[in-house]
Amino acid sequence: MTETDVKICASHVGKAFTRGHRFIKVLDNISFSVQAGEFVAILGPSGCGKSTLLNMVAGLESCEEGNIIVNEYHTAQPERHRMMMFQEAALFPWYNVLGNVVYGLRFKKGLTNAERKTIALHYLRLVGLDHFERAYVHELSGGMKQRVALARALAPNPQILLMDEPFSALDALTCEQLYKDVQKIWNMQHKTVLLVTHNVREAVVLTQRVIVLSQRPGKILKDFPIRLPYPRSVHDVSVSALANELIKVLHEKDDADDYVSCI
Amino acid sequence: MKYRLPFLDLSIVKFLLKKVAYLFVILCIWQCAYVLGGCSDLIFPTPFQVARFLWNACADGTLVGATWMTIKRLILGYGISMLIGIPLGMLCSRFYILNACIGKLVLGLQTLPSICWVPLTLLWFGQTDCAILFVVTMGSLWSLIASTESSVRQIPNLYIKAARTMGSRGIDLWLTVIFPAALPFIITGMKQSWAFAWRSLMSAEIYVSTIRGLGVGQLLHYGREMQAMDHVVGIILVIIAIGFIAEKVIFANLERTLHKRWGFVKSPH
Repeated sequence: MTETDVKICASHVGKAFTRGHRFIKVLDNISFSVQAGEFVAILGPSGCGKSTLLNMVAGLESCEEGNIIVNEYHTAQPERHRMMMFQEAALFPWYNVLGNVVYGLRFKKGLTNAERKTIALHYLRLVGLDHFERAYVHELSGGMKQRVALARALAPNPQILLMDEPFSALDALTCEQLYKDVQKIWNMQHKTVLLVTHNVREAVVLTQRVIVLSQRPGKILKDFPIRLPYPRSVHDVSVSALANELIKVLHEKDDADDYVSCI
Repeated sequence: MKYRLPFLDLSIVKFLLKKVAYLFVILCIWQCAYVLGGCSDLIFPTPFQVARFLWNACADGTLVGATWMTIKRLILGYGISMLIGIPLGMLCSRFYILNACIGKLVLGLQTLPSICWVPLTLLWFGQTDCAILFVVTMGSLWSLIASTESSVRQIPNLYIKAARTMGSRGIDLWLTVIFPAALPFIITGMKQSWAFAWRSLMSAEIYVSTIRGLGVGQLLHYGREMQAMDHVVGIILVIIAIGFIAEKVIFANLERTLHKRWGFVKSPH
């Protein structure tokens, strides 16, 4: 691999908050890199700073120590070549489904409104929501909302997709279906994807590499490759085996009892 | 066998019958109070007298004309205060310096009962429509600024984060995300400040006897001057009806629709 294939490069990243008089270190000396077209998970217990890390990659939060370089530039501002999905779908209820997907395309130059609409409809079809373009957000189920959010994130054709626990508020059956669809879409488009999750199986099912973070302050415990063929299912024995290994990694350094494994 | 009306929804019929029954009971109590109380009907009119007044006033057009005049003043005065209040409230939430400058002023003026503007406005504008509009605007503007300012603070940060990752910034972010996200809260504030505007308008109409067009407040005032109690009670009923329709029918429905569509049952935090 050449240097230019590195899409995201974090080096010695640290972050701390002051809450009242207390000084809380959330991230400590995080270094990793993600290649173009790679699907990588950041796995860690709640409160280990993994969402903060993702926000920093997105450019929504500033980097205090170290630096994060995306596409050879520092991440000071959000940009449209990296789109983000959140735990809540964050759809805008004042637009309908189509309007939400078109929203991300408004700033793409050189497109007519008709073209924007065509692109939006294409991505809605891709996530399995054709015929729902006129529906309003409150009429959709949680899974459908996340599908719209996925379509909205994919529509501007970003190079990088950042996912902040997008499946954690959904029920198990909906999750399974979405895992299948996300794998399918990733195999079609091979975008660089960075997924933040506390769900071990989710990380194993979806990604090629899992970066395991410790309890706060988050440090990298292990960089764990997942070399299983796609498509994968949460019920695969090989997935379970790897998930168990990952849980061991999480528990090795983790004496605290308050971590509940989310398998 | 159950009898069913073929084209009428029975639940609606039931609902209407209930309402009519309630109304009938209240009118009966009113009439009984008159009969038992032994007051003169110059002091305590019967429902029939009031109904007769309302019928005649409708028939000769004074009541309809006055209601229309009042509604026009309300829309104009409240419209001015929305045009100033909502943008100013949003600017206050964005610029700390502006909020620091006029925040306290807004709070102070908000607590001032709007009837206190009447002496001032009579000296400034005289017995004119302008005077009435001024009182209505002053009565509702401050509460609208304050509620809009707090509305913008209540919107979920997630919307802004999502919009920023999609490239929205500055004025575009305000127009396409912050304003619509705050809209349900703004509507709630509007409902409240509308109530202020309505009360201000009634005090203004009673005190400012402009020659150009009578409003219901002025009709109420002349009812007292003519010592026509049926007139006074009839106008009070009309004032209640206007307030009820605007607040419970228009604003409440608007608020409910927006809150439902914006998904406030499960807040997106």
